[in-house]
Amino acid sequence: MTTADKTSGNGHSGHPFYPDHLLVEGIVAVIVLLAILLVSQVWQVPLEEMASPSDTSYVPRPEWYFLFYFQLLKYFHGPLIVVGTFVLPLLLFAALVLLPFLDRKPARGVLQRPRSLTAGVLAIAAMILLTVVAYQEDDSMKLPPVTDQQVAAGKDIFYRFCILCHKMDGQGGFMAPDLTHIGSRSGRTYMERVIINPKIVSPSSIMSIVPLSDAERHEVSAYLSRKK
Amino acid sequence: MPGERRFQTWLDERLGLASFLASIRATPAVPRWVDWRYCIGGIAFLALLLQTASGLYLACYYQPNPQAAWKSIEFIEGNLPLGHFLRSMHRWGACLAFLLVLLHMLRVIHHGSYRPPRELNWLSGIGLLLLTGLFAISGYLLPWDLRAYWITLNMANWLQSLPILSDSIAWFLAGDTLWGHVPVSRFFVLHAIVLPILTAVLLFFHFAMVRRLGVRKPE
Ligand code: HEC
Ligand code: HEM
Repeated sequence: MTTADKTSGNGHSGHPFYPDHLLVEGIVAVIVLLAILLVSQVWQVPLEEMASPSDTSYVPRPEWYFLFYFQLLKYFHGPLIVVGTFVLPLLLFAALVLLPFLDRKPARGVLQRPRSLTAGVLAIAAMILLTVVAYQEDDSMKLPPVTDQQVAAGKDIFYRFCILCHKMDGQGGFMAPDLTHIGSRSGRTYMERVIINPKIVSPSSIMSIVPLSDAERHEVSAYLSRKK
Repeated sequence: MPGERRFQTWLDERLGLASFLASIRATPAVPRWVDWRYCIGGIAFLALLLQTASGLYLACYYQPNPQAAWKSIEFIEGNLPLGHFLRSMHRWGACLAFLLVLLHMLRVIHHGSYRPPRELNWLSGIGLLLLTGLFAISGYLLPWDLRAYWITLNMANWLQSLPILSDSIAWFLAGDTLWGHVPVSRFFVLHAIVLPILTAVLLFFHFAMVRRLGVRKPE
């Protein structure tokens, strides 16, 4: 009934699928099952607050297995974003689909295929690296508490760089949203994110990236968070 | 004929159970070199079955519209016996399934098992990988909490940049407005009906191919 081809190892020398192999499979299954029951009982997942379109301070973060991709997308801006959302996924998908048609040589161990091995290891390393960077950026967002000194310094910076476009207390530019009451609309994390990468407000945002140090950025966001 | 035997025959005439059992017993012997790594695919399947079980429980109480979705999950967690536990299990189970599918795929690549004549087995596997990803994405939105809303909005923004189909996809994701009830019920139908059916079909094919061709002998 089975077309045992040359590459398949189905000979007469094995052990029966049922019950022998199913037993091995069963043992692994029970271990995994117990693990998931335990984990689900000990670390019950929280329900976050209800969705609300006005809470723009929220920084969405996907599950770990998509994190590398979210991080990758952060590096493509403007017209280049299509590289991240379309070109790269398409290339990856095409590579996966074509793999069995390109690599038809008789099987060799991975160690005898240095080029595919290097490509594979590099791809996996890149994903891990992006995931680590994503976690670290989240950590760097843990903000110091607001002090009056910070607020004053932040105000200075704002009136030097940001007032050109943004309106504040009736003065300033008109190209960008009035930030007079930004503190009552948004949280600090969101402001920090916008300063680092304005594209998160909208992909077509024309806000320029103002190169501030971490400390300066914290000062500006401290100032803005007081503008209620 | 003793009664028990008569019942077996009666059942067998109608269902053909004996030949089914015989076909399972006749599954080709598993070669000696098949080690635990070859179990990963089967365990991934187990993880999908667990997702089905916990998912069915959640689906009994979940309400697919934005006014009620979040409340219904809060209700599941707070008021149902095992509610919080099963919701956690569905979430951790999704992680587990993804991890296992990736490990299984690495196993297949490591052994070079995608090579002829197993191209179709590999391709159905890619289909399953995509479906696993779509499960995760469509599942995000359902609790309608902050994370669900903002991730979906981000996705809709990014997808605007696609050279083709961007409008239809954005419409599918965001509905008439993201705030309306349309996307939630759409995602629910996708997550709980369409994707499971497609997955079942592909899995059937995937397993049939493994049965037909066996697993590849490593060099
Ligand atoms: C070149 C003009 C320009 C400069 C300079 C600029 N911005 Fe902006 N900013 C914009 C525009 C335009 C938007 C609206 C984004 C969009 O929707 O495209 C914006 C949006 C924002 C937002 C989000 C507002 C909201 O309602 O969500 C914040 C916060 C912000 N800017 C802070 C700053 C800070 C702080 C600085 C100075 C470090 C600054 N901006 C400098 C043009 C600018
Ligand atoms: C829902 C996810 C999946 C399930 C439940 C599943 C299940 C299985 C099972 C039970 C086997 C038998 C051998 C083994 O377990 O290693 C198998 C074999 C195989 N799978 Fe999957 N699989 C899934 C996804 C994938 C993916 C993502 C790929 C690759 C793109 C893939 C490619 C293959 C191939 C090529 C074989 C043949 C292996 C060989 O001959 O050695 N599968 N699958």
